[in-house]
Amino acid sequence: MELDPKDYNVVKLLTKLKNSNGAYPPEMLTPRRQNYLRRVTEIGLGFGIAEGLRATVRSGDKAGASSSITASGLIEAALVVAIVAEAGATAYIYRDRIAEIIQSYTLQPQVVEVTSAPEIDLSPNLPVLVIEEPIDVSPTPSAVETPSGTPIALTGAVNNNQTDQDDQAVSTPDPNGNNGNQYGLTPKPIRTIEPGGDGNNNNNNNNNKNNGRDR
Amino acid sequence: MKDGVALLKAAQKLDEEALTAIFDQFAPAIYKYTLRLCHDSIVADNIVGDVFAQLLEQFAAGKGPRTNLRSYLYQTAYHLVVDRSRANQHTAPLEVAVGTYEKGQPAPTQSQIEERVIMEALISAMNSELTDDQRHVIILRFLEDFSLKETAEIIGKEVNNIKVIQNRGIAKLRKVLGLQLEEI
Repeated sequence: MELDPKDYNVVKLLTKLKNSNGAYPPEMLTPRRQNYLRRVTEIGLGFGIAEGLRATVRSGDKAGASSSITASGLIEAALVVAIVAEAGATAYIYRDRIAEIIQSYTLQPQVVEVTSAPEIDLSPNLPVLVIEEPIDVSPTPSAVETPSGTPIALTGAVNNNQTDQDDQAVSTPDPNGNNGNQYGLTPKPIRTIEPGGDGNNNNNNNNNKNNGRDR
Repeated sequence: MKDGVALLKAAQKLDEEALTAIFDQFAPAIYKYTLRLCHDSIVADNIVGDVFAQLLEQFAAGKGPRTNLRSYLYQTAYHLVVDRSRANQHTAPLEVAVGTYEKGQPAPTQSQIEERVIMEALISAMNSELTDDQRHVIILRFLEDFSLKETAEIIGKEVNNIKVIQNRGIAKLRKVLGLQLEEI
């Protein structure tokens, strides 16, 4: 007990106090006991009913386990069949509309929305670059397409060989009898005189060039 | 009569006979213990009713004590007493226990009168000089014969702490009863 020997007298007194008569008065104990026994009966009855219910549920579970599994499988299969049949019937009834919808999706041009980048004016004071009109470049015809059925115009030998002259296209006559050599035949352009200026310096070179060309 | 373990197992199955035996065996002891703590016979009687009502509810819920039924009942009673003392600071004297101490006895002798004086001084010192923990530990250890371990379980403290509380309580009682103890 690990008590100091001086404390043994106190412990001896406490032991005597333990033996003192502190009994439960019978006028209190009897009704308390009856009340307790009534509670015991109530709880025991309720516990018995609960146990009986649990046993019934357990036995019911065991007996109907196999039948419930079969029934649930049948119900599940019937539901799947019904859903498939309903989907098929609906698709058959509205087949035209479904086709229209599919066509509208397939034929509809795809429009891609492109948002332009926001214009940011970073340097408003910069000089504006003016781009002059581009020089017109006449495209060189690479090939002359001849309409089908049109007879090909041939000079020379063709004229000699063809008997039906009306059907052939008339070829362009050679200018001045010169076949392709046009050197020196181009008319000289008329010079434009600037107003108020005689054009001494610049025209010297041009005159020299012209003189050389004329020669 | 069934032993403690068999009685507890039968009570867990809500066996009526076992539950009745438990009440008959422990109700008077719980009443005495509660009376020593709260000093009121009516309160002690109510606490006994609450203790066994809680026991029935625990058994019905599949809970309750598994090993030490006696310690469990005292622990429940202790908590109920503490709850009630917190609710209303009850300061009734402990003379209830002393009054029953000499009830039904013939005229006391000189030694019996001296012993009674010492006992009253002891009870008074327990009520006035000891702290709640010291009083509870001393009651459980020396009046209810619980071990240190059981006392620690009931009060909810460590065994070493119970030892310290017990020794300090005994030392305080010895100091208060110093003169009377020399006369024994």
